[in-house]
Amino acid sequence: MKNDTKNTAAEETKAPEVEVQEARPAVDIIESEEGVTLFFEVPGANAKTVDVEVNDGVLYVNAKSSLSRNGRQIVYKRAFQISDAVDVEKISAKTVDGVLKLVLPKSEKAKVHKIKVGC
Amino acid sequence: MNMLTRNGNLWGMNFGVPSMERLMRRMFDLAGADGSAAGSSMELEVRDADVLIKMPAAGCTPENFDIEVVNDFVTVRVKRECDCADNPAGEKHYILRERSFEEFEESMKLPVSVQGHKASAKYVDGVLELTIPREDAKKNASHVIKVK
Repeated sequence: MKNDTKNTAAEETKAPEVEVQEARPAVDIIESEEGVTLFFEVPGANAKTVDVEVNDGVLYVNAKSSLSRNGRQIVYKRAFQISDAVDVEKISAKTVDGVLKLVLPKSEKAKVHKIKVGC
Repeated sequence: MNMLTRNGNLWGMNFGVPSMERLMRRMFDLAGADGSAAGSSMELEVRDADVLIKMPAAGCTPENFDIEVVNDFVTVRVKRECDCADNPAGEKHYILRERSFEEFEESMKLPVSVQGHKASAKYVDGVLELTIPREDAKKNASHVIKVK
């Protein structure tokens, strides 16, 4: 009987689950000598609702939008496999006007080092 | 050396011309990249006093929008320019390019009469929010009637 009471209390405090609709954001990827920059279109999302994670060499982007479709909250999701040349520790992210900018710098080892040949 | 590699279906390669992509979405009524229906990306909410229209348009500024309300017909034109500030020379090396920087417009016929001259708009997190008071707001406002 006690267990039943506990379960009921737990159910009451549990927040209602919001139905979501996953969407694939449009992306621009630009490469430079310093690294790679990604621009994700995530309208309705901001710094508080965007999650960026690198796990086992895969970059995951998850952005909850304030927009909805058919009563379901839009959640932008996309993933990219990244190479060892990326310095994962120095990845930076910023959102401005619904655009998520990710900068993936190259590690020092991966950068091109030109060596002059002496006479 | 590419620092990003394809990851099965996770990497959706799409090098098509953006305008054609938009056209195809409309033609086949597919969901857009923003998860919206192809016919219109506008989201409409009819409330007691006004109507709220939300339209996704990431990477814009308020100056990029041209909004027109004629009777109960709303048209939003967006003219967005490519952000080349990072590389003024315009010599970017794109590995993947899906975002569109072309001009486009969306129109919607509202299900209720509105006061277009009292419309207001704001741009937040890449979403245009357009609020237009209803013409018959007082008539249609909810009234709670107590039974005696």
